[in-house]
Amino acid sequence: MSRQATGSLRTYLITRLLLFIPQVLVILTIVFILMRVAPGDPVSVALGGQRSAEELQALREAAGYDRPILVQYAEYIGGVLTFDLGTTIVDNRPVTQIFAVNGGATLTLTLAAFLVALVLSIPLGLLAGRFRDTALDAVLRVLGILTYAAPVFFLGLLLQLLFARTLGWLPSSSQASPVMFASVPPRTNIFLVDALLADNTAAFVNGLQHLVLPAITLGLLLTGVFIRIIRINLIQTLSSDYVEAARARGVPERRVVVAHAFKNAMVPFVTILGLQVALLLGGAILTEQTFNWNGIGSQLVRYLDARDYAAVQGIITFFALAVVTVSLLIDIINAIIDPRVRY
Amino acid sequence: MRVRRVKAWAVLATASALVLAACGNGGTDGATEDGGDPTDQAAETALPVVIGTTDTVTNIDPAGSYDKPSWNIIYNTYQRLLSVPLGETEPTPDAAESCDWDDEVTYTCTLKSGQMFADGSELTAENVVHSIERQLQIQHASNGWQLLTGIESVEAADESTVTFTLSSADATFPYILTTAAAAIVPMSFPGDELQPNAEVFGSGPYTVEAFDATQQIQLGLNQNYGGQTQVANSGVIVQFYQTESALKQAIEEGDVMIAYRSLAVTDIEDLRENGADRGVDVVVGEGTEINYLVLQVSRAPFDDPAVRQAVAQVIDREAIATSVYRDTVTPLYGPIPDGVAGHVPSFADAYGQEPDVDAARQTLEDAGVEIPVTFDAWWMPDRYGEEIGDMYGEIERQLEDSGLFDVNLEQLSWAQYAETFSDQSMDAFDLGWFPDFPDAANYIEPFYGSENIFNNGYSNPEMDDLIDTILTDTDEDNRLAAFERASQIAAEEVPIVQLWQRDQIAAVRQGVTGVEETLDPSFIFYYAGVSGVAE
Repeated sequence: MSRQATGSLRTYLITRLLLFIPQVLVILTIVFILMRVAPGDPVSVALGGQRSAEELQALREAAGYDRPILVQYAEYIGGVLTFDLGTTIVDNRPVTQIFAVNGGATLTLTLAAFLVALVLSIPLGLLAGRFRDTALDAVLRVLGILTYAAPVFFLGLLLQLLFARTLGWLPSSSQASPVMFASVPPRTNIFLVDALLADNTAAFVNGLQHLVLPAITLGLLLTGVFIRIIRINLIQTLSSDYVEAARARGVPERRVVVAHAFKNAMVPFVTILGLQVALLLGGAILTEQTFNWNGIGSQLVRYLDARDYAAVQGIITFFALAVVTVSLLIDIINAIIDPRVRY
Repeated sequence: MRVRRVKAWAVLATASALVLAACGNGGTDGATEDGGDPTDQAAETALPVVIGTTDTVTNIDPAGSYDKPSWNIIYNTYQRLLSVPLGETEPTPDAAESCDWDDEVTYTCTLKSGQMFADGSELTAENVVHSIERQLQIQHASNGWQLLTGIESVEAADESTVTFTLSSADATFPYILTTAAAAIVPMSFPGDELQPNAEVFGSGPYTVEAFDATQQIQLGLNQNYGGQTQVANSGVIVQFYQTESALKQAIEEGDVMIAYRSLAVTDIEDLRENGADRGVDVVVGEGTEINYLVLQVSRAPFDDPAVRQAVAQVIDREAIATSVYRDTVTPLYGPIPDGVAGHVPSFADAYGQEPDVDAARQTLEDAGVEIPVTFDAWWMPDRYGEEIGDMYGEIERQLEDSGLFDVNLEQLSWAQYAETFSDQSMDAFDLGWFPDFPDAANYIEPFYGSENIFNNGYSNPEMDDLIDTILTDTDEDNRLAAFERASQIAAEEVPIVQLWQRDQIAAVRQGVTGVEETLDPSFIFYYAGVSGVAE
């Protein structure tokens, strides 16, 4: 039995890994086509009017935009495989450098937002499920819908207005105050980590203060989704036979929920987590813009403003790969924790 | 189980840290937020200056940029042979002891002794030669090097003497030497490629300590600086913001001491009215950035001077400045902005400051022009600020309300606009201008010569002669007379209608000093004079 299950898991993992390849290829192809659908070549769009026609042509040739579309496609795929996502047009910067320099800010924001979402949604989702169809449930469901439906920039502005402008409790933008940022030498480009490495407690606390509002803003977006998922899973689990059996054995309701139903209700939740990465990254772009957070999302907006499609293509490729990779990891984790997940 | 508990505690601890951070004192006063004793900070008189901006810095190697934000860093980190001192408009020696004309095409400078780069190497005439030659060798796409194309040769006669030979007489050459294009670089900068931004250094009062064009640039004091500028602070942090609103929040919360370029006009208005309550003052200085409407002289309807004059008579610049720009710009009634030597309000002299629809109608009727005159007016939404669209809405309203014109507004993004405006396809089009240096020639020669940058068909032999005088005559009185006459012709023939000059505006935390002094027509923000602790 044990050998059979192990073999089945191995088959699942191999199949899932093999499926990852066409999945990535399809996504890369879509990104490539979308970027080519835009009118004009990327060099002219970004630098037209600033360079002579000869210079533009030279840049086009150097970047390969004058070659046949299939050759460009092959070069693009080859570049992605070697993690060479090209060079930005407006400031001649390797796209991978954007991830190295600005990735830490996005990672900090998304992890903190994820944490906020988990801390808020798990107890609230369990409460809503446990007290189904009560006033509390209704309030929490409405709250879930509101936080999910509220535009990130709107929620961010409201929080800035309340906690930064009116109450003055928290800073409204950036990863840290400029003086604090300057006092921390960048080693990992993750400000909080760098502050700790520099043994700069004041900078660390300052960084945490700056993180609160953007993390809550982005976290609330996920919280709405998570509350609803946890609630419905808990309701389904609470009506299952083994829970009824536990109740019949006289297990207290609190223990039924926490020790029996909760764990199983979380299994489908883990599956859903992977799907939320896209939502998280999309929300991060808006959150970074709202809070002047110097992450990959804000760079994407900056390069979009500059019409630098080479940079935009590289960043979108990175986001797309991040989403499919996390989906793969979540599927693997799910297969490990849930024996029913097999091909 | 134990592992799970540890994980749970780790999550709780991190969450608690976030909550604690939330409960902590906002303490967002950037100038005092170093964790030290406030008393010690108050005693410290030379704190770093924190400047917030929405500008984008590209390259701070002088051979790699031709934009104001990058040049501003260069002006503070490099020396030039000559510079325009604060509040003045004439070039005076900087790294040079003296500079003078040997003849009308030969210009010789003698360097001061003891000028040092941040790495300890000496600044000699060889550095000047190297700086000019690498500009002309690299020929970076930003095109700053084109300011130096009038130099036929540059030679170091000895360690402290450098001689420029020009291809033709150029009275503006001393001004060109004040620009960032002529900034003096160390010999270690490669002759055929740019020095990386994080590795640049010069001989100016500051040196670059950290460079991240997306986050902040840190400037420390150049301990080897041998110039005359007195520095009133211990360094500068230039913090970049993506939006005008974020910049406004930063100055209000005290994250930055100075917000300079650019706050939205509504934010400036708000800070003017309510900023004092939030510890912020608005400081205004003379600006030399102008905006103007170019008319297509080459064909109808603007091939008729009467139509051009009528446009100039109807447009109400004061209304634009007040209602659209909330008094953050000043109406401009001549080709040369106020504050620059040679300014003459020639349009006000010719037509009056107030719009005069009756006079415009008379002008058109006398010329036999059919009324209303229909034309397309083009503007771009992505170049000169959000208010441009509103301004053209106002101009359209003014012109059409006169009953003399029927205006079709058209817009195009800058990338296409820049390639289109000189092909004579637009009837009238908006453009803006930052001067390279505060000499009036900047506002006449590119605009009114027979080979002007607009290719709008305007040509006048008298104007060409005046431009020749402006560019070659080193007698200041002769030049001023030429500027005056050129301004009169510009108002009579109206190939261009100047609309406004933008004031330089900074929002400053109370307690910060020295900002107003640097907002002068040179358009250079010198950091050295700024000091103080943001309250």
